[in-house]
This record gives sequence, C-alpha cells and structure tokens, in this order.
Amino acid sequence: MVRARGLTVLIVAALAVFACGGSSSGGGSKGTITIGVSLPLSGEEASQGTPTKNGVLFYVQQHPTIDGFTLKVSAKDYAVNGSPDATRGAAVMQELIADSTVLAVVGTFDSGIARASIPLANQVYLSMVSPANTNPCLTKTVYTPGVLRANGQDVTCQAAGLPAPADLRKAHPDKNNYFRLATTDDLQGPASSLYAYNTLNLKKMAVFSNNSVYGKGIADTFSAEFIKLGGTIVLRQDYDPANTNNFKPFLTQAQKAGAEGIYYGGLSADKGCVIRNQMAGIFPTGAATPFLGGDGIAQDPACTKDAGQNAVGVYGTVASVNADQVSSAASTIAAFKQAFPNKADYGSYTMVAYDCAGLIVAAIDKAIKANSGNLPTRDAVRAAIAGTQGYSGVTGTIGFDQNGDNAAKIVSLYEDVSTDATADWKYIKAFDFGANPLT
Amino acid sequence: MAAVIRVRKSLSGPLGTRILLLLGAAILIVLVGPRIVSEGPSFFLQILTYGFADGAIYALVALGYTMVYGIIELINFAHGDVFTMGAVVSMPVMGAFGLAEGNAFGLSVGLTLVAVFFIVMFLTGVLNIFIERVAYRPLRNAPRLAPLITAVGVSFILEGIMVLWIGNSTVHYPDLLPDTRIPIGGTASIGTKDILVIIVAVILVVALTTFVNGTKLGKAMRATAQDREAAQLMGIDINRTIAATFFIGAALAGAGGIVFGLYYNSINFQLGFSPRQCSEASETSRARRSAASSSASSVPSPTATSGRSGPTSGSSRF
Repeated sequence: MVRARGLTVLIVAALAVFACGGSSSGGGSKGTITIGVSLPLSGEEASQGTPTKNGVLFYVQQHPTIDGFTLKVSAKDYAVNGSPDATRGAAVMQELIADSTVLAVVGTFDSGIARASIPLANQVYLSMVSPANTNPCLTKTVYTPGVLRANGQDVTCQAAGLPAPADLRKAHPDKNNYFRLATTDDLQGPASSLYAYNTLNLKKMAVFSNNSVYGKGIADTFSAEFIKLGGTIVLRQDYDPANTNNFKPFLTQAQKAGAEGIYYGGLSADKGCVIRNQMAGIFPTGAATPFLGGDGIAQDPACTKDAGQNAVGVYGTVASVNADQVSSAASTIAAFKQAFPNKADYGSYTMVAYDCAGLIVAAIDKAIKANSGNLPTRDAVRAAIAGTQGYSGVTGTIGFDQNGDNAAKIVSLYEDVSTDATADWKYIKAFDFGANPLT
Repeated sequence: MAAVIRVRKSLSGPLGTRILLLLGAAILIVLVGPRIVSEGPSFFLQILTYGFADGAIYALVALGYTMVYGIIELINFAHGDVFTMGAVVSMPVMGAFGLAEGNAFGLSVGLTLVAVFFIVMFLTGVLNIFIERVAYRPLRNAPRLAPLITAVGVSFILEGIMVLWIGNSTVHYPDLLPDTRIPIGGTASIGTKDILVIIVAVILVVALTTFVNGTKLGKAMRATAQDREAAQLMGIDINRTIAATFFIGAALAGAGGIVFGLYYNSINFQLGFSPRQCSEASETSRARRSAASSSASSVPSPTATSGRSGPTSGSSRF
C-alpha cells in the first residue's frame, strides 16, 4: 500500500514536471491567463450583453499575450429562459472561480446578478470589473445621499431594502474585489434637473414614480436638485404600477397646478411612457411639454411605442459614458467595426467593456512584474486593480476610489426625436459629476 | 353590552342599510366638498369624466361576475383573466383585419372595429363555455370550496397562457381611435375615447337587460338563478342555461378587454388581477357574514382564497 502510494506521487510529480517543461518550450509562453466574462448572452438582454462581451474579445484579440503569458477569454451566460437569473449568475461565478487561470472577471451587466456574485468572488480575492452596474449599494453604504435629497437625510441601503457593500464582502471586508466604470443611479436625477432647469427653462415640474426603490430614488434626487436650482415641484405622485391605468386625473391636477413638464422615476414596463401618452389632450403635445426620466425609459423602444404620437420630447439619462461621443475612442471603434462587421456586434457598452479588459490587463502586467515575471495571485491582481489611477482608456481617464467607483462620474442624456420605435434616440450631452461634484 | 347588541341588530335591518348609506354619503361630502370648492367645479367635472370612463370598463367586467354568481353561486375568479384574454386575443384579430396604428379613423376602420368586437366576444364566450364544461360542471354538486379553488386554478392557467403568449411585461395596444377633446364647460373637456367607452358600456348593458327581461332564455336564466331544481322540474335545460350565462358574461368581458386596450393602449397579462382582488375581498366578507349568521354553515374558510402575490416582472438591473 505504502509503496503504491509512493509510486503514484512519483508519477504525478513526473507528469507535472513534464507538463511544465512542455508548455514553456512551446513558443516561449509561460502559461495561460484567462479573463472571465459574466454577462447575459441570451434572451432579452443579449442584444446588450453580446456586444459588451465583444469589447473584451476585441481587446484580447489586439493584445494576445502579456509578459510571456497567453491571454484567453472565458465568457459565460447567466440568462435562464431569456432572463437574467441570480442563481445562474452565482453558478457562473463558481465556474470561473474553479478555473485557476481566471485572474479577473468583466461583469456583470445587471446589479442583481452582481449582488449574487460579489460575495463568492470576495472569498477567493477574484476581482470583478463591471461596465454597466449602476445600483449605488454595490459600492456605497448610502442608497441616496442626503445632499441630493430635500430633507438632507441619507437613505441607507438598509432602508432601501438592499444589502450594504460590507454585507457583500463578508469573507474579506478589507479586500474590496468589485469595481465599476458606470456611475451610480443617484446622479441620474440631478442630471435631469440641471437640463430641465437650465436648458429647457422649466420652472415648475410634476414628479411621478413607480413607487419602487429605484423609481422613488431618482425621483427624490431630481426633486431635491430642481428645488435647489430654484424650481418648484407642483405635484408628486408615487403610483402603484400594477393597478393604475388612468393617469389623467393626476395629470389634470398637475396641469392645473402649473406644471411645465413631468419627471418620471421608474421603468417603461411600469407604464411610465403610458403617462406620456395620456398627457396628450391635457398638456401641449411633443417637445412643448418635456417628459424626463432615467435609464428605465431611456433609449427604450417600448417607451417610444407606449408614448405613441406623443413620443417626441421624451428625455432619458443613462449613468454611463457614450463612447461614440468621445473623440479618443473613434479610431478604436473603427478598428472594432472592421473586426466585428455586423451592426449587432457593437453596442453602448462595447467600448466600456474594452476599457474594463484594458485596465485588468494593465493591472495583471503590474502584478506579474511585481512577482518577478511569474504568475501573480488573484489577490495581487486585485490590489493592482484597486490601485488603478489615471488609466487612460478609450472612453476617458479611469481611476477607482476606495469603494471601487470610477472617479469619472458621467451621466449621458438622450432625447426621443421620433415616434418611430426603431429609430435611435438622439444624444444630447454628458454631465460629469466627477469633475463638477454636486454640493 | 345590551345596547351594543341592539345597535348591531338595528343596523343589520333595512333601516340600518339606509342609515349607513346616508352616513357614507355624508362622509363623502365632507371629504370631497372642500376639494370641489378649492379646485373649482370644472376640475371636478373633468375628474368625473375619467371616473365615468373607468367605471364603464369596470361595469363590463362586473356584469359577467354577477351573472355567473347569480346563477350558480360561484365567484368565477377566472373571469378577470377572460377579460384580459379579450384584450390579448383582439390584437391578432385586428392584425388579421389589417387594422394597425396610424390608420386614419373613418367609417371603414369603425366598421372593422365593430366586426372585431363581435369576433372577440364570440371567442371569449366559447372559451368560457369550455371552462365551465371542463372545470365547473363536474363540480356543480361538490362542496362549495371545490369549484372555488378550481376557479383560482383556472385563473392561473389563463394567466400562464398569456405570459407565454405576450410575455410578462406590458405590451403596447394599437391606438386606433382619435382622441379629440370636446369642451363640456369651464376648462373641462371630454375626449372621444371617453365617450366611446361610455357608449359601448351603455349599449351592452341595455342589450343585456333587454335580453334577460325579454327573451325566453333570459327568463330561463332568471328561473335557474332563483331555484335551480324547480326550474329543472319546469322543463328548463339547466346545462344549456348555465352555459349561455357563461357565454354572455364572457362576451361582455371580452368587449371590456377591447375597450380597455383601446382606451389605455397598454395591456399586460395581469389586468384581470385587480378586479379579481375586489371579488376575492367581497367573497371573503360575504363568507364571513354568512358564517356568522348560521352556525351550521358549510361555507369554506375565507383564508383559502386570500393573499396571493403575482409573479413580479421587471429587470433586476435597476
């Protein structure tokens, strides 16, 4: 028995030595480093998820090796039956954790899936860099900061019914492993206030919300900033989306109180743009009465459809940069479109994901050099990503604060300029709250 | 204590009903009166028109509920879903007739719409006859709890079918009607859509009343509702009468579904849920009342039907 076990050890050791020798002799590669990708690649969000994945693929295509290691991408889909699924998201993270060559992950797209993935990745120091998550509680203890609210009081994550960042990083609270390039939802409201008050010249607004944490949050921050600028909120209505179909009484009341526009916090699926449709006949139609909202309605064809003949004059914010408007991204986008020629290959987050991959590879490079050319640990890569400052990506300069949030806090504003649901929304402008913080 | 019982007793009689009604009206006036004064009468008039339009749609749903309840004492929980089915089915029917958003409203669109109404009313009617035949008729003499729970089950089945059909989020319904607004005094105005909803409801209610009071089948329905066994002894075909009741109730619900779609231009698979909640509440309180009035009641526990939360939709991204 003892001899047999000794023999096995010997064989295994010999195999291991042979395997190492074999790989190092092949093209001078020291091994493989994998970047994991956790995104919705099928179903309703695939049209966003797949172009995001392509950004990572394209970066690795351009940079196939790093310090003698071969770069690889392992992309996994967390959609089940067409919808993002938290259980599947956790399983995807387990698979990526089990693959020891995975040193960092690009993902996720959905905040709910991030919530299920961060605790698992935190146990093994595996870094996640998200191009698109916007829920504040993934990085901050406060859902809506008091400075953005009328009464000056914070809405904590706990009060918003969400786990705080520390709850997601229980295994190693001092080792943050989650970073993101998109900014947070609490800045969407103020961006709309600035545009409504300063550019559209609206002084009186009515505010609606779908009574969800997200909807009420952005409605609150919109109201507070709008009042701070000197405007008046003439009506606030948090309705029950399941049982409200007739918004005309509220709208009539708003009109009577002198509202010049409407702000809506919520999703198009909660009848947000039905409100816009029912404004016809009560308010002047089209651009004469603006209707503003967050990423729950922005660039959503369903919103344009619901708004019907009254679709023009709907504005929506997205808590992320628009790469097409950044001049430094132009050449990379052109090169990308050459490599991925289909129109559906490119999306809003392709270049952001490209930057995610870029800063991960830069951090791995730093970690390899610090480890005298050898494969670094996941924790070393994590520390290097956390130390990212002034990384010049194609979408702008990226640096992380101690929470893992990007220092550039950009909210983009779009306008629906056509009643045709297939038409793109027009890009209006970007607000950088990193450079011009709200006080 | 005796005084309390006496007050209770007097409130449960017809005089009590009148007192309660008056009390309710007084509370309403106290609550609404100052609002009417402060906001102005034309604002009140405006809100009233919306209330009428909403009420008209509820009326179309409620008629089917009460008809079925009157005749077999079953709250048909699936009725709200038959109403939703009317809206869902009407979309492909409209498509087949070439009705699409952007068509200028005229005589041909109007007439096609009338045809769509009849077809959808027929389809939902047949659906309800099928439901009655498969789910309720075998349980007609079973304890009351059995058909009640079956009705909830049928409701789930219909909702499930609609989720598979149109998905679990809101769907845009073609906007076919012009919404020209006609001033009705002060700043108040009424839209053509509001008028249409009210007119359709009134036509159908009048037609139903005429049918129930003036035809042989209507008489059979009333007889069956009063005393099923006696009606059967008089030679009335109970099965046929009950099936006809289900057909008419569902046809009204189907029409209600189309009206809802045309009015709000947005539907989802759970439209029938809120009317059903109302009926569940009324059934629950009714069951409580009859349980209190007779100790040997066979009425099932109301908890069996209460408290159900629908599947949640929406993206986890937000």
